[in-house]
Amino acid sequence: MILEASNQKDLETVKNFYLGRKGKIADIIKNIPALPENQRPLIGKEANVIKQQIAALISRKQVDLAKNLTPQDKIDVTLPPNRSRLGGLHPITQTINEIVKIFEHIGFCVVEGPEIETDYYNFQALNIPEGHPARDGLATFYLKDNDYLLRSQTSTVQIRIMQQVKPPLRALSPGRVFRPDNLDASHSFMFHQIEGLAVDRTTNFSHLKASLAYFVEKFFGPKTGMRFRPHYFPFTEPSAEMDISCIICSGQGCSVCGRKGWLEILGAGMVHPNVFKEVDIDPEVFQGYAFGLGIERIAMLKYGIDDIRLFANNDIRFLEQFD
Amino acid sequence: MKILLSWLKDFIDINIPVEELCAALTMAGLEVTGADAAGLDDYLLDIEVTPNRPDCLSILGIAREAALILDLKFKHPKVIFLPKTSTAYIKETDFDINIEDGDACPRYIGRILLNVTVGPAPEFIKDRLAKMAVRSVNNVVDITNYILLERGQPMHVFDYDKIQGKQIVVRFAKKGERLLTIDQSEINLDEKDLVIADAKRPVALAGIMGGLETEVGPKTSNIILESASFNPSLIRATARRHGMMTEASYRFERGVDFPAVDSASKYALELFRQYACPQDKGRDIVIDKAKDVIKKQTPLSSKVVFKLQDIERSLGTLPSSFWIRKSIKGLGCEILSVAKDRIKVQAPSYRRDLNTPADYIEEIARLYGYDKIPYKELPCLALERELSIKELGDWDFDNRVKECLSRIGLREIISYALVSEQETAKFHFDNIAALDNPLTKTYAVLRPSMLPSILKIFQHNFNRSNYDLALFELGKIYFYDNGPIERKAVVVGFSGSKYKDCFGSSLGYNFFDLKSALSVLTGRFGLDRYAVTDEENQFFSKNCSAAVWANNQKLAVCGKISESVMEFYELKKELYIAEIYLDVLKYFSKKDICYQRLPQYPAIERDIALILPQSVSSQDVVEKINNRNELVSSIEIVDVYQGKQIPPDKKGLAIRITYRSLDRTLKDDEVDKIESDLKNILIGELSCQIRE
Ligand SMILES: [Zn+2]
Repeated sequence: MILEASNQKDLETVKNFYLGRKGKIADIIKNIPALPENQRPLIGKEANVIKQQIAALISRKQVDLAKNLTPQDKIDVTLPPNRSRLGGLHPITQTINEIVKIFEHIGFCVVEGPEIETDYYNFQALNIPEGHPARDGLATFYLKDNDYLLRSQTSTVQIRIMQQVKPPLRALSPGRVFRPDNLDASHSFMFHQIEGLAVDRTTNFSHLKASLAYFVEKFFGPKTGMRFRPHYFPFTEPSAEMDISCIICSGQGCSVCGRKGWLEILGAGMVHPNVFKEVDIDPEVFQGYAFGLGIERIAMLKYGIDDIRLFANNDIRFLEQFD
Repeated sequence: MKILLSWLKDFIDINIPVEELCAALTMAGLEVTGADAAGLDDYLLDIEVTPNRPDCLSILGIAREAALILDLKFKHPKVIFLPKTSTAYIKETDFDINIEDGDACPRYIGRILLNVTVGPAPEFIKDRLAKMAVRSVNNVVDITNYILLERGQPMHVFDYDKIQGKQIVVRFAKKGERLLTIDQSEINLDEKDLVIADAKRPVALAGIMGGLETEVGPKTSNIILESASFNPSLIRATARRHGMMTEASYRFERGVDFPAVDSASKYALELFRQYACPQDKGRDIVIDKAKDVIKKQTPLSSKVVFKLQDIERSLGTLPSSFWIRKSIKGLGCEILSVAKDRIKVQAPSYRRDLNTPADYIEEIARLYGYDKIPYKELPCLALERELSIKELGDWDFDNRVKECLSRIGLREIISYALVSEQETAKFHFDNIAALDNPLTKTYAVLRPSMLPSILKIFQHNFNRSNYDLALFELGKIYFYDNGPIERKAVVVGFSGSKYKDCFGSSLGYNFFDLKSALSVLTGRFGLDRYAVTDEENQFFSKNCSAAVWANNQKLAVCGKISESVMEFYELKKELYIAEIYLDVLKYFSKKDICYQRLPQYPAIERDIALILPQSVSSQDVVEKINNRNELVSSIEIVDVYQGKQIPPDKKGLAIRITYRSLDRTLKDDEVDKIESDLKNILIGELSCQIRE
């Protein structure tokens, strides 16, 4: 009957016949109380299933009628699909999630800190006093009419964590940071960093190396080469920068790695005793490592993206490539 | 920091290819970021010197470091013994040096040289300066620049005859004083600026740049050569205040080696004798006076005692104690004593950064080679610690929000958190957090709302013909009210159509897609009751603008973007946006998932067709009959209609009520009874009519 209906009016009649208030199905349901008790649930369920099936048939027929198609008409199967869009996460979020997942495997958990900060958290507590030349590399936005600033690094969270939680601890902190850099293909005034901190009685430089090696293996693949170079950060000592073998040219030398074959991806080191003293943790008893990396930078390296502004432009055609 | 390889060879015999040299320096902490050919068989190395190593801001310093790293012999520069001062004592050339503040200027050596011949510098100096990209001026200036590059000690030369009152005063500038510097810029001095002055006026900005009036020129024959040491943070502050970063200020900010103040001055004298002498053999440069005023000895770094176990504790490995002692000596440090496992050391004058055991551990690690330190896996950590740390922040909650929205087809964006003052003014935001030093007007205020950010993303996409969009961003909004305020918010926006097929049908987004996103979120977090009210908003059209409330707290605002806002952002398509405040959502969310048994007995559905006054909202209808009877399991709006059967001041609404009992199959007559009660409520309390 449903399939035979040749117009919407016929179909409506059929629909009423089965599904209307006084239709066939309603009839069955009405009579359920009269049935033996053990059959009632079964019949009730059956009736509902049939009701849904009929409703589905009818609505499909409605669509067919609307398009003037009968089952006998062959459809053009090569027509494009109905468009439906997937939702998805931004590549920066995906990159952060991926890093977090890797470090969660080795006992890290995620904490957050404020973006509007004070000079104390952004500099002083991190062993960067007023007038320190290390402030050169950390140019900072200040708020108007007050003493606050926008954090220029996620290392601020090291202090906030250790003020609230005493070791042993392992924490990661992803988030936005701000620096007064003019926008171009490789600079932005706002980008994302992730900070890592592991502190207990024995965590040392060789643990730092192994943890980061584990990260590189998981994130960039097991064949990625890596090296640690001595560097200087006021809040770690010894300090290091970590390079990975260039993933574009496999270490042969190309324009991305400046023909060096190596790409710098993060800074790290053993937490400086002065930082521990600042948060009332005895550096004679506790020690640990910290590291920090730029999310945009490693997402650019991983996906071969050549312009940092693409992340903030949010062109849907760009975003959809990361599903 | 640029280093000419051939110049480096004055101090060490390098017997390896340049690539190996660069790699060795890099792996010991002096990262070579470039090595460009500079003439025949020569290279200009670009070395990144970290702020803790001012001793490496010279050819000599890099050579000393390279000798240690490559185990080469370092050829110390020869010590200069001054010839006897000329007997021709000229009373007129007497002069004084006054240092007002020993903290600001611990040491100042002024050296007067008479009968200097100003002319071109010798070729080798000009050549080396040219390769290091330093402009040649004349022999006098070039010699000081040459020494700055080689030894790291900046020096300055004044025309002696232009110095008034025969005195050099190192003092702070006075109010209203000005100085015309050699780069022809006139600066208004600040009272915190340290200056070099004569009896009357400032003649140089100390440690940064000399003045034009006392500059050495072709006619100069008598000079004062300044070699000094200044307070690093003072120089830094002044250089920043006036935006004058020079080779000299760069080094003074980081600190110069105290003994080198003297040795560089003597080295300069020797070069002047050779290359700035009168042609006439009968005359020599006469040194009349060299005054070395030491106001304050810059102390050596502290003596440090450290244990070998400290090294192992920090690095996870321990080099041999023989190797450690050798390396410490190689750094120029003196080993004061060795007792069992303790070593007491003293760093040389040029390593004032070595003051704690950690500083020495870093040096040992660096020279040992980070690559030789083993890899060791982290041990397991007690779980309870993790849980206590997790309380800091909303990471899990935020992730669930993002996941929830992306599951229903929304695409996450991340936009700039800075907006323009024009925007915050247009939309009348109060308590904004504005930047003191914005880069541009476009990004000058921390956003007080997520809307300006997402609207610009819509604009960007519209301009590229991306019209069908379902976007969200989870971010922060910022205010300042007696202190900074950061609130987490999520913004959801729709434009264009959500469905399209090739038969010409499509389904556009509308206001109710916002409510759908909102209800998915509230449902996800167990916030089961919220109210929606009409509320005007600066972003939304008057006839489509709402606020959403959870227990009288504003959970969200949502609506259709108004035409004036569309015009402001040059938006070509209409769009619907909701801003949801996550602090409110999180506050009312239920943490635990509570399982409920699936219903065992069939439900009965009944539709009621209502005709209502326009003023009665669907929410009023649902709330009126909700919770009246426990057998009512849900109330759904199935149709809203208007048309010829409905009077113009009324509207039609069809609701579907589902009745269900958890313990039995309902009978029609009991449902009839409830239904009629509910109808009576609607008729009596909301002036509804029922259409049969
Ligand atoms: Zn490469």
